[in-house]
Amino acid sequence: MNDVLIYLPFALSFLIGYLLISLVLKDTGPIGPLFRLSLAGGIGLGVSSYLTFLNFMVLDRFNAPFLIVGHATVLFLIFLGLLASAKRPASSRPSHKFPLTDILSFVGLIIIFIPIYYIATFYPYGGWDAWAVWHFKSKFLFLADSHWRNMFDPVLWRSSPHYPLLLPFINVWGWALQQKAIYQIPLITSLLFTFLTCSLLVSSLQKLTSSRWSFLTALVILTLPFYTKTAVSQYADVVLGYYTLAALVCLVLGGMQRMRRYCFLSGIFVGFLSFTKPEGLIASLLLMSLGSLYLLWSNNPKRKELLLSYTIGAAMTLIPSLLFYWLIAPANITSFNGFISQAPPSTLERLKVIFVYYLLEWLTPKWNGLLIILFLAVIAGARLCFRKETWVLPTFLFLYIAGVTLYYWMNTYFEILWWLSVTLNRVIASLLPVVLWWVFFALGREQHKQPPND
Amino acid sequence: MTLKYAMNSPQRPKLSFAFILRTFLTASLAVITLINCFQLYKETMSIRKIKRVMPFSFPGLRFSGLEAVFEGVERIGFYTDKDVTAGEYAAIFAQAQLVLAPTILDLNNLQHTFILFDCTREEMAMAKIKEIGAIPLKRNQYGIILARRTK
Repeated sequence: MNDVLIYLPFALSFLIGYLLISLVLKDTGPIGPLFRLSLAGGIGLGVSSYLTFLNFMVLDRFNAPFLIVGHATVLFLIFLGLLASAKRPASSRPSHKFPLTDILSFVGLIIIFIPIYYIATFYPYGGWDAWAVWHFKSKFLFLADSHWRNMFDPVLWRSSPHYPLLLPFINVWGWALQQKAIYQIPLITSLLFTFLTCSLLVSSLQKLTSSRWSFLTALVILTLPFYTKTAVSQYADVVLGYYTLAALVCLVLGGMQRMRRYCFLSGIFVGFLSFTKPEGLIASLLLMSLGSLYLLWSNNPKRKELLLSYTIGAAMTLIPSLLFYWLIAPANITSFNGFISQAPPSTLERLKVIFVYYLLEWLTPKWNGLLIILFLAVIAGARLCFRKETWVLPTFLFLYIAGVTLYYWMNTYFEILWWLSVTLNRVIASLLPVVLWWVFFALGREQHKQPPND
Repeated sequence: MTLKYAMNSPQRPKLSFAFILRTFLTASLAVITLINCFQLYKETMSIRKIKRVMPFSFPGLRFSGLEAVFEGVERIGFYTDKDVTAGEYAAIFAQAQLVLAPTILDLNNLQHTFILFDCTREEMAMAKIKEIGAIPLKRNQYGIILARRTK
């Protein structure tokens, strides 16, 4: 019975996500079950996180009945929406078939997850940032009653009090049916997001390129020891990576197939992304601007509609996040602006160290040459990788890395070599699915020239 | 003539640059995956070996069992003579904070009613407890002492 209670909140979130996807993507043609599942998981868990956030805003403490009633209300509203939309004739019917590629990919992912789960159970409380930040904040929110705002106390500077709370709120929802803050919930959340990232990578590439080799993208990152370590460490970087990938996949799909419903979904993911980490907020604002330009600059007669859907989707999930940053989050106390401060200033030497470290990071054995191969593929296939239909991907990656570099240079609170050694690899790990998707999509589209047809 | 026909035949797979690049990328990724699998296998086996004697890794559990004492207590002092700025003990302090959450551990602040002592030697902890006029309340098997200030 207790096992059922562990998985029940996640199952409810997935159900909400699944039904929302059915409602939003109703007229977009049949969607493969794996692709649907991959999007549904992220949407559902994001909604659960925001409902938990609402719980704290309304009652100023954790309250399980509020959360359960909140989820039941959302489910009821979606049912009403589905009933209303069922009365309208649909241009196409959703697919209830289970294609062999989806079944094989799903089974394949489950098989690779066996050793990962085994390793994860050896580190049940995750890695450093899980103890100090994510797992800690989740437990604080769950147990502190009306004193939950104590977690923003400067004494707890090691837990980065200014960080947003998407992941902790998901964990709190996971504990809603428990008496204790059991360790299994953050572990499951982390593995779920890793699974969703890989299944989204594979299923979206199969949908867009029909390549038989799409599964290799998930295989290569899931078996990469460093990526596995990030996943079992229960860091929010995996969550950030998932929402970045989901936002970009839906944006490109929406732009190429001229489907405003995908643009709306992309906007939703952009908003959730902003609530994952401060880097997520940067990525989210970048995606908002670039995504708008991407949709506006397309030769699409419906571009204004697409942009409107994208903006509405983003506003729905970005506004709660911005309210958190504006009204609740304390100031970042682990930050010095080295551009205006003399103690210590942002020197040219610091910038040189950053760039040299970047160059050396490519060669470290933890990537097993993957970064070099991807770089070579992008250079050799520049004609294909920098095309009009996908310009948003390299531009986003370039500007995001430029933003991160600027922050490394500007914030002189931390000794730069130590800071790079503990964070840069995680920044790369979170972007890796996007880079793999970009390269495989760009090269695979050449093979699959006709417009994608569901 | 036959050869020319065969070369221009639409059935013949096109050896385009993109095709070569895709093949290169796929082959390279397959090789990397093989290396990854080997490393993952080694990692899993080494964990399997450790799991026989230690089912999981979390040194912070040595602070567990004190949560009940701190129920309703928002802050306590945490005194240590170990280096909390970096290395292994920094991790252990973070784990202690996780185990005892939502009680906040105020590092080396001895003004709180409850203070947790985790010192390199127990005598050092006891000397400090005496110095601040506190009384030891509880000691666990790992030498962690909980004291309460009387004044």
